[in-house]
Amino acid sequence: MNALILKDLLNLRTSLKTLAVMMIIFGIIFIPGKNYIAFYFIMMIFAAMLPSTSISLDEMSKWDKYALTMPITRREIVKSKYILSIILACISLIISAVLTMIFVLAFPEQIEHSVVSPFYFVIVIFALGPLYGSIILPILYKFGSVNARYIMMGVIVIAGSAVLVIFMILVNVIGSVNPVAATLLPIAVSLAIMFISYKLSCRIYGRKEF
Amino acid sequence: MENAVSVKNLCKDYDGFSLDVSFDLPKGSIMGFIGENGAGKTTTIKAILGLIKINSGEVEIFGKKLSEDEKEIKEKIGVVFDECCLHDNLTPSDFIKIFAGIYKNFDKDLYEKYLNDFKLPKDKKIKIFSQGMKMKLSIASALSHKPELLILDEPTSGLDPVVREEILDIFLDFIQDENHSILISSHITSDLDKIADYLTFIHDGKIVLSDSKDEIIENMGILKCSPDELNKFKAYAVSYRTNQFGCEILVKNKSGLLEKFPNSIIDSANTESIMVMLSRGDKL
Repeated sequence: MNALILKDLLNLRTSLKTLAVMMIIFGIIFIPGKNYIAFYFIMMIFAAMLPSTSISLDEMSKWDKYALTMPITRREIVKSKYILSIILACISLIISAVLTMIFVLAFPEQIEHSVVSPFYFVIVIFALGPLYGSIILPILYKFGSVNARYIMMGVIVIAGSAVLVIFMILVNVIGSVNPVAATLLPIAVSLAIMFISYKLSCRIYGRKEF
Repeated sequence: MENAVSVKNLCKDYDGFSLDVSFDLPKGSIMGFIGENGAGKTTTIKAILGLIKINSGEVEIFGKKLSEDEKEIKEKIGVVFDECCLHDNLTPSDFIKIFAGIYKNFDKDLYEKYLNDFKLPKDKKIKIFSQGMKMKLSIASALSHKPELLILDEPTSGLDPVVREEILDIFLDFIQDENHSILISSHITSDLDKIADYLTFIHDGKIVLSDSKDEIIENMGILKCSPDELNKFKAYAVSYRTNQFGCEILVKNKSGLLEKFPNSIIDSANTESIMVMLSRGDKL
């Protein structure tokens, strides 16, 4: 399974470099303007879209047909995409955290006026990032990347809005009362949804014919 | 003799097509799996490999079912499809790392040796490779983990005669080890004439003939006669065709027929003529 993740990362080499450059450019533009929430959000969505790109690349090469002739199970193929989702979210998290640290050191006066630390937003959006993958992956497995494209656009809008609403509720209702719970809850919810999504994807992929 | 592959009453139904096949691939031999386009060759191979679900029947590879020991079995199989299924924007070098993480017996030096022998650039993206080069890369990938069974689905279609000959030589080299077996599906009958020990003909989802190539060539022939003589040869006829000159009958037990009808004109049959007669001929 590590080999499958390596394969995806190698395939996404160009996309990852683009993501890193975009993060730095957007970081420089957004963070000093106190728009760091928007920045984390955009970056996490870009990172969350990469597993979809990898499935698309696999489809174009007819890789799955070949991979299933190798000593790899269907479950391992699906699992590797979910782990890839988490890895990409972690990369996004680390870069966001580093840029935030730079921001905090450069503009300490901006932080004093915030109710909640910017690091809190980094962690919450990290938790919500893989949620996008959890929604998208079963759709991709069911419909294929070409057909799923249109469904995905709708999902981005609906899921993106839903995520934002949930996020605002967490910040306003819980954040001021108990920041630790408000941080842990999205992570727990995200992991639970990811697990359900994984089971669903395994079932869909298990029935597919190549 | 132990069978490398054993297929019993394998059934798969699609809308407008039905597959129902049984055959055995003896260990240490090359079986040519022949049929016209749409006969069911690829469907059979996919069913053997577990890429599609089957309606009923049993498939055993090395005496075991795929459901019992999937990973163990697949460690020992190398597969080549009619297209290269490796990502275009990766290089053969990238695949060294990937295959090493998948196969226990992947031999990096062997893979690199094949890349050198086939003159494939290690660090160039696969998208710049020609079709012949991509096919050779697929073959290198299939052979580098030292499989015992090669399953090849039309590996030479679309290739020029020179490359085809090179590839067939590789397969003949592979089969030198008596523990190795090859199942090769093709409609390029001249390739199978060169390398196959056994021939299995499939037409419209059914096996119409499966035997050793030598037996088939020795026992079968194309008999030429007039339309009114057709019924005379019914006992020996497999299928027949009528043309402007008369009738052609694909016959079995050539020697027996000649004993009974010594003046008969029987031409020797090759794989191509047998395939055409089985696909397009009618039953008597």
